[in-house]
Amino acid sequence: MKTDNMLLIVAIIAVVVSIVGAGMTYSYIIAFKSKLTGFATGAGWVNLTVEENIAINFTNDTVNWGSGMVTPGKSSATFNTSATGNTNMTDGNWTGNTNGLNIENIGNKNVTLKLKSATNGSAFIGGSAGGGPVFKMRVNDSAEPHSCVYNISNATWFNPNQSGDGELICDYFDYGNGNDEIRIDFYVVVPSDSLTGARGNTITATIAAA
Amino acid sequence: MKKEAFFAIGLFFIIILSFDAKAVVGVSPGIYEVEFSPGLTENYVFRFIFDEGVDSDVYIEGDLADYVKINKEKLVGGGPVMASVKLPDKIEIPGDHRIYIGSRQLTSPGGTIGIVGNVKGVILIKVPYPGKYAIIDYFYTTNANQGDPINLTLSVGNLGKENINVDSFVEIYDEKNQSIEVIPLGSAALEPTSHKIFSKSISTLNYKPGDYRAVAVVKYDAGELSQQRSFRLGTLYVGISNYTREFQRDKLNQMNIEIESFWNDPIEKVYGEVQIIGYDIKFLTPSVDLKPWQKNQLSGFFDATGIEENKFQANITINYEGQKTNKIVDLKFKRETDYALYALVGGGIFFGIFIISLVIAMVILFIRMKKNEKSPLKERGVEKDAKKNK
Repeated sequence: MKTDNMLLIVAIIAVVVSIVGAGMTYSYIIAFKSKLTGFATGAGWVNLTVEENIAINFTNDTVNWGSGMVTPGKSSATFNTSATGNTNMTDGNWTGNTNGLNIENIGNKNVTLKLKSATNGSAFIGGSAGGGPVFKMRVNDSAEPHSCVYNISNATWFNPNQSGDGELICDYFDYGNGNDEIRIDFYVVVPSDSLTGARGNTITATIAAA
Repeated sequence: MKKEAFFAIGLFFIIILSFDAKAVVGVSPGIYEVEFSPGLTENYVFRFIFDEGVDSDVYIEGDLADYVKINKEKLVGGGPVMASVKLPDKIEIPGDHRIYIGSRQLTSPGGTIGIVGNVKGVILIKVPYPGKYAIIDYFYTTNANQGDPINLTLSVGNLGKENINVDSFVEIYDEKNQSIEVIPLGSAALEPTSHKIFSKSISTLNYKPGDYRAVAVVKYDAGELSQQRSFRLGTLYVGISNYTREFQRDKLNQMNIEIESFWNDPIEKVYGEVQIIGYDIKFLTPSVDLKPWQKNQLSGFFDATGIEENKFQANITINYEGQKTNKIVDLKFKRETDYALYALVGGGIFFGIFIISLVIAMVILFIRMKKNEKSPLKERGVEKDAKKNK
């Protein structure tokens, strides 16, 4: 009996709350309705200014060959990130690398692109066997053609510049989707008498509005 | 407040565009273009973008750098930098003067070779030339497929102190460098510091697929300017630009085929089919998608067991969009090192040296034995002589 009373009270409270809630909703709808006319009698302006910005994304910002050594009896080992198969890394036991570095123009303006190397082959690798160390770069946009209006030939391996902002690569590095990405490949020769230990080099990519 | 709104919008777009980026460097805005006025004093804010926690320094460059001060010299994870410019009353050299407000990443990402960013915001001070002076700000062309329109866009600016009249047209040259069409873009009267953009869409129905050169020419009161751009007209064709030529005999070999799109739109599901001519050897490659004008590589494997000749041929077929590109190519086996012969010759030489050494050793032993047979008699003779002396 007690339980039945309790249920009855709860039901009455629920009904009262529902009626009050429905009343409030109705009153809000009436008030809101009075603010809507359904007519557009004038023209409006939506003003939006998109600022020109320049930005690049290093989609792959490191090249690693890990640890290794020149094959005993060979004068040097050669790395070529642009090559696939056996010629990617020869006469050494490092891990091959076919990635290179990738830069994408993600801004909304064409930019100039310069590349600078912190060190040359001698400081980076050292040694003299097999003609000495070699450290060269090559830039191409074959994955997204016409990304770069080249200042240098895209088929040429060049010795990285170490002064100023480095070598001017692209007079125009395009931002258009589908033609806004370049790849940097490296050709490295490590002599058998090279410097030992962890070797590292930093490439600086400098951009400015074209 | 207005500049802050600009930065917010610029930053928003960079964040959207750089979604899923690995490492981003940038600056917003990239450039302020300013017409020179004597003693100009103004503040320009650049918002630099680096990944969170990345240290960078801030610097000023350019021939007018002495007239600029910045409010920060270091940044962590990017941020705004205010450049306060106070120009002199007169700049002797007319033309564009670029002041760079740059920020250079100080920390390397590591690796054997790592790349860091150095981004420069530009304050472009435009000093007017005396008299009449026009420039081509930019000239762009677009690529298209044969039959589709090409867009030409040319911007001309008056950088002189006097009004000028400009008349512009574009001349199209084909791959043989022969002029095939002249397209007038229009004319305009330009006041000092003003710019005019000419745009035109041209039909390519009468053009053949291939590479073209567009030369924009602007004639004005004091001279003539020109600038050229190249553009391509595509055709639905995928070419074979390179392929693996040498293989190993009696082994499973990988064959790579480099393909190139001559189409200005993406081509999906491109795959290769290779038939070794004269043998029942055939393989398919997995398919790849090609972006406009993109080069890509197809790879497949075949077993060379049973191919007897040193040189053989294959028929490569590239399949795409219901079309095929065929090419019969010459292939060959690599010259293999004959280790058995090397082992036989090396073993023979070693065996010969061993036999010669053995013979020499036997001769020496024989001579010594002969000597030993003689020496006891001599020793006995010596003993007899000693007894006689006693």
